[in-house]
Amino acid sequence: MFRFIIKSFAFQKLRNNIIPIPKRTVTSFSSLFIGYNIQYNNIQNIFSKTILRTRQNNVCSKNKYLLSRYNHDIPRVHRNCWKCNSEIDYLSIHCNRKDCGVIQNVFPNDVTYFEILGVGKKVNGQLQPTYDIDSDQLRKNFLLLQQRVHPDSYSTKEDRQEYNYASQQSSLINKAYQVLRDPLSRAKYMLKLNNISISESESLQDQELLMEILDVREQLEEATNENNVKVIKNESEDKINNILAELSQAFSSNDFCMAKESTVKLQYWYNIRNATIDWQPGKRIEIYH
Amino acid sequence: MLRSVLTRNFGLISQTATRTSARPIAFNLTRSYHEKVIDHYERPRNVGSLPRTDSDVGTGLVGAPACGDVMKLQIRVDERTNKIVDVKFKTFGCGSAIASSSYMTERVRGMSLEEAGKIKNTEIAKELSLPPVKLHCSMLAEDAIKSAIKDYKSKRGAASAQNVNNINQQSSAQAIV
Repeated sequence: MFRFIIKSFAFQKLRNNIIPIPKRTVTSFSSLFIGYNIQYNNIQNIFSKTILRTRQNNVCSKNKYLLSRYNHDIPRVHRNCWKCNSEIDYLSIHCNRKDCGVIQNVFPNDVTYFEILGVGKKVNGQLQPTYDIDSDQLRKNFLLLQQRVHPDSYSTKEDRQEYNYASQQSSLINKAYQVLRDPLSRAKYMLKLNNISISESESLQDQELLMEILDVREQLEEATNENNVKVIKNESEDKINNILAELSQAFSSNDFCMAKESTVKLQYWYNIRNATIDWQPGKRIEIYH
Repeated sequence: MLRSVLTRNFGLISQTATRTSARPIAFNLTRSYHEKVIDHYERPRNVGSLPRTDSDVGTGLVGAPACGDVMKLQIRVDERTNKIVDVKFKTFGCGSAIASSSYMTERVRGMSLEEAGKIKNTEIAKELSLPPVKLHCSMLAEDAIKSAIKDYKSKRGAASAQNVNNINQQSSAQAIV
């Protein structure tokens, strides 16, 4: 119990940033472009070209994509409280000054969901995205944050501004939690952070995977009772667990090519698992996106 | 509880938004499938399988990774006329994907391989009145037929290479004899 209290205090300290951020002197030209997707890395350029090509096979560059955007030395800009104009940290939700302490607006897009919810791997004072996160810690952080920003606590203040900011903060935290909680959306988000997206115009040519999925789908179609369906459901659960392990391995070694393939596989098996859950005898299987 | 608060918030925000406009704008918020898509979905044509191992059957197997759809399109081609005499499909995907592949099978029946390869996804999208968000489903159908044609041609290529080998062996056997 005490450990929980201590952990929560530590987390709140981090959020209000009593830990000082080291001052960074602007030495390189590229660091002036804060928040812009300027290619300071040739590999990143090749990748974005690969995504823009449509109707191509799903073959990504075999170069291991080592530099993620968030490993780069981007100086974080300080911002000012909207009420008392004192300087506050990038990540703060409330103003640092004791006599002010009002809730702040949502921070700019540069901040990842991992930093918002306080999970990930700590590198140089920043939280880097990782695929393996402690889901208990995630949930605890989420609940703590919601306690602080929930609009219900701000509905009686005369200044409507605070209520609006609280609503926006609360929505953002909800969204971050939903994305990070589910392994598939977490994988897609992490790919997006590295400028890799599974675009709708891409076509999958991996015949092995497609054959497998087709077979399982046909089995599911022919299933006549709950037991048959249960077998397929267990198979899909096993497959999903294997793919999660693959994904974890791929992300930790920064092999985004592998991560993308595994994410695609995961999407297919997720659909099958959902179909087995929704299954009813005689009912046609619907697929929703 | 959180969800009800958030919906209340959005209700307030939308109220403040409409207060600025002079009159309320009424628009249809529900988007539904076009009746042609529903027709193809409820009564799909040419569902089934052809034997994969037949030498005159080409199988196209494609998938859309973004949504997790899989589509199989099989064509049986008459070798003499190079026309598609039979076609079957199996699609596991959304209604638009099923409708696109069903419509594609109707379209290519009786066509020659060249004509079938020229069908564009825009044709299918126009015929089924697909919304922009579902255009990739028609793209998938176009990919499927192209893949089936390619598979058939590679089978024929392998078969004719086999034939040439056999004839060579026969002639060399005869020469020896």
